[in-house]
Amino acid sequence: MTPRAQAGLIARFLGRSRGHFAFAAVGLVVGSATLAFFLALSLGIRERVLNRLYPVNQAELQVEQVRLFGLGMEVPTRLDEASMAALESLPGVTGAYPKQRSRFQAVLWGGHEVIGRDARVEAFFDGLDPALIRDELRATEAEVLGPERTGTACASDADCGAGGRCDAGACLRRTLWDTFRDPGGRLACRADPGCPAGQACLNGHCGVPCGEGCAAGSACVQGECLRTCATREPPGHADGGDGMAQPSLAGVEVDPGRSREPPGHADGGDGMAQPSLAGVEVDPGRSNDPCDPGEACLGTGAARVCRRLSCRLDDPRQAASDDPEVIRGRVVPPGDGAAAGLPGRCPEGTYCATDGLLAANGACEAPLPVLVSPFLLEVYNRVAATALDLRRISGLEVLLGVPFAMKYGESYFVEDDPVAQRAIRRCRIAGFSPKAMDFGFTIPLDSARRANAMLRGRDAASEYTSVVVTTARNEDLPRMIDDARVLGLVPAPRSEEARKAANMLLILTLVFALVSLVILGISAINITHTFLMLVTERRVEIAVYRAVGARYLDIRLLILGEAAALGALGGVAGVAVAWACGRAVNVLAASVLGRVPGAPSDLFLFSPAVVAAGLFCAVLFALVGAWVPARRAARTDPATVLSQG
Amino acid sequence: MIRVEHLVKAYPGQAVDGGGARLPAALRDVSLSVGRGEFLAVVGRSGSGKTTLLNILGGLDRGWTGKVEVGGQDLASLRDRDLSLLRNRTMGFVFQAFHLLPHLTVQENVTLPAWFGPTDRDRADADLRAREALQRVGLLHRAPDRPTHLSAGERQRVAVARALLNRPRILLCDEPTGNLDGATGSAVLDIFLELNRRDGTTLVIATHEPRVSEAAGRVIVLRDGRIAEGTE
Ligand SMILES: Nc1ncnc2c1ncn2[C@@H]1O[C@H](COP(=O)(O)OP(=O)(O)O)[C@@H](O)[C@H]1O
Ligand SMILES: [Mg+2]
Repeated sequence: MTPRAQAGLIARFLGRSRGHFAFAAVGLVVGSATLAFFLALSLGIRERVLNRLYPVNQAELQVEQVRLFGLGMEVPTRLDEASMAALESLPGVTGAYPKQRSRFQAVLWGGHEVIGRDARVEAFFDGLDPALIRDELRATEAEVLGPERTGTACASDADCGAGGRCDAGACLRRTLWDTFRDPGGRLACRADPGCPAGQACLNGHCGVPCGEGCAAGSACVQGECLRTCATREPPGHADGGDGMAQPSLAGVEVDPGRSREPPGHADGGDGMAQPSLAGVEVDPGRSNDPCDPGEACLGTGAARVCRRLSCRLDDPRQAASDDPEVIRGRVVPPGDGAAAGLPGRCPEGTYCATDGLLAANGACEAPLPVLVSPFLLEVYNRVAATALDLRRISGLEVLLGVPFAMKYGESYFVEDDPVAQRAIRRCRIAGFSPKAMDFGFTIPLDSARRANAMLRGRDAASEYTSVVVTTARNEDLPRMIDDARVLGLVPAPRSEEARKAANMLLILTLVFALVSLVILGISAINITHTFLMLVTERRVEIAVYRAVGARYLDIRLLILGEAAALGALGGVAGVAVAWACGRAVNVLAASVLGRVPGAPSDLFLFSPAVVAAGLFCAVLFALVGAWVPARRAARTDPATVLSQG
Repeated sequence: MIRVEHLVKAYPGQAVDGGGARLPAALRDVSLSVGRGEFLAVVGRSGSGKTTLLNILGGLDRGWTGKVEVGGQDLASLRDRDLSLLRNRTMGFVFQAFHLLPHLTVQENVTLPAWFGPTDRDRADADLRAREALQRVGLLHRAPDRPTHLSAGERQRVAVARALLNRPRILLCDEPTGNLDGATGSAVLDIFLELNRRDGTTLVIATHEPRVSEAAGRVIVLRDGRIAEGTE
């Protein structure tokens, strides 16, 4: 008997005993549905909740706390650049991404755009290497705001809404994930220890000293390494005949006479007294690359570098203003008087960050990009909004881009720093991540280091609070954690919790898988009964098959094939039921939990493996159940059966 | 075509030698041979062992001793696969109780042997062959009907058509007219005779009806599992 003939006969068989089979398959459906349901739930929670906290190939480490009589005492290990290098050299480690907490008191206010009035709270934050989180931010943002390619056709950027871009005739929406990087800023100082490690106090502010030379992409200007830049020139303007054309910008006056100086003079050591600061591009957007917002590309020819714009407020108290125009202040030309070409105020999107509460002087800076934990939003919505009668935050999207302000050095809990050391900095919400601080927020690592250096000096800015270590493969992680112990580093509570939760989930999954296997086992017994009955009912039929040429094996395969088909149908139905139940649970969860920000809208992940497992187990148990009946069917003695009149 | 030597068949509870308190064996030292194209009638009273003999010849029954050769093949040495092929290709079976499958149509019943052929080609022209076979037994017009709607005589003719599907060289019939009345039994017998004369099909028919044995070329009589007499 050929496989095709088998299939044909099986199809007939199945159709004929529909009633019996439907009954026999109920157990299979329930069993495989249970299996698929819990596997999908487990996978969904792992992928969409746990792995967001910590992917399976990552762990967060911190300095080991030796507990003495209930007191947390740190063994004298420092988590600094040296530890990073040691970690990165461990086998299997692909990266070490440090985190640094804020080490000073701060308060924040803002948010009236979303909650109706300004919140004023103590501010805690930490700094995180943007590289660790970039992909995740992008994915989360796409979930909240939709795909980056909106699908709208466009002719220019103007067609694409605020912040949108026109790329090859199609709109790209405003993106925020890419703004999560240190926007840079000027840190006023008196001496080197007031600057982060690797920087020195140069000309009254922190900068990278030239020393033995500057890194690629930067040039030495007045002892400080500054990024080089080359502003693009509008076509047709590259004239002047002297080969040193300047970008002509609307409203910017260019002094051709001064710019004719040879570029070699740029770092001639005679201070800012150079006529080379004329060319300015004030657009803080992408055309300012590679300069940060608040910087301008100044200089001539090849010696053009990014310089942060100095600024001044009429009154130091204006720093606390809510008026975005007021806080832009006025740009102060450098001491060399190269006012020409400089914008009047800090460029759009930046503000004048003053050196302190008492200072009117400062530098143009973009607000710090801030990540918020979805958990914090949940707490706000569930507790704060109700208790304080504030507006609930409906979803993550309303928070994206929301600005607020921080006052460094003040606190509701502890004594404030001396007023001269306090300062106001602006922030803007750039995204959401479960990796952001639970009670606080997260900014780029370099921004946090600068803030810590500003308030607490170099030492505070060079020690990290924890480090997220990534390994090439998941299997490398346990060994890495063991190795790191030698360095005095242990998993951070949150990382440890994630691992414990993952283990717990694994156990629960196994338990429920076992339960569903028991259900399937029972249904296998049920199938045995049904098939034994059917085989007895069909004795004559099977005997006739044998008489007209069916082999022993043909009969066995017929019965087993029937069982397999039944199992497959039951499995498909089971997975479908599981899927439907999953939908229902999602709806239920959504209505019970409310719209918990950051909570996955779909708790289930019906991966191909889950579907395959549901189908496979249903088929397997159907086959197991039909094994004995198939043998009995094949052993039907045609001589006896057919001779009976 | 068929050769049987010293065939002994004892069902459970039967003694091979027939001694003691136990029942005698169903077949006791049966030897016979059937030539190609021959029409052999096996007669004997009920319980004499006719059915047992036919089942053994047809490879449906494997628990016996002695030597049985069908179409040059030693049945005892054949594996299940080859024996099944032999049943499928070389032999056709007709039972007293017809054994048509009630959930299939007449046409499908006749096609049945094709399902169990070793190649897919077996089923390619099965419908055509089934119609031919039905034509031979004069029931082409009943092809789409269910067997339950047929009379006893018609059912047996359909069973004959089923046996003919793969054009077997040997037809084994166990009291094919036993459940039929005179007229319909004659009709079935006529079909057998024609098959034997025109196609040279070897016929072995177990019967206790004189009109069948009279039509046969040769008759052997079984009595209590032994060949009591045989006529050439
Ligand atoms: N399946 C069986 N089990 C036990 N004894 C059987 C079986 N089939 C037939 N017999 C016995 O074998 C003998 C021969 O029976 P059978 O071949 O059916 O005779 P017939 O077909 O001539 O009526 C009888 O005595 C019968 O009782
Ligand atoms: Mg009989």
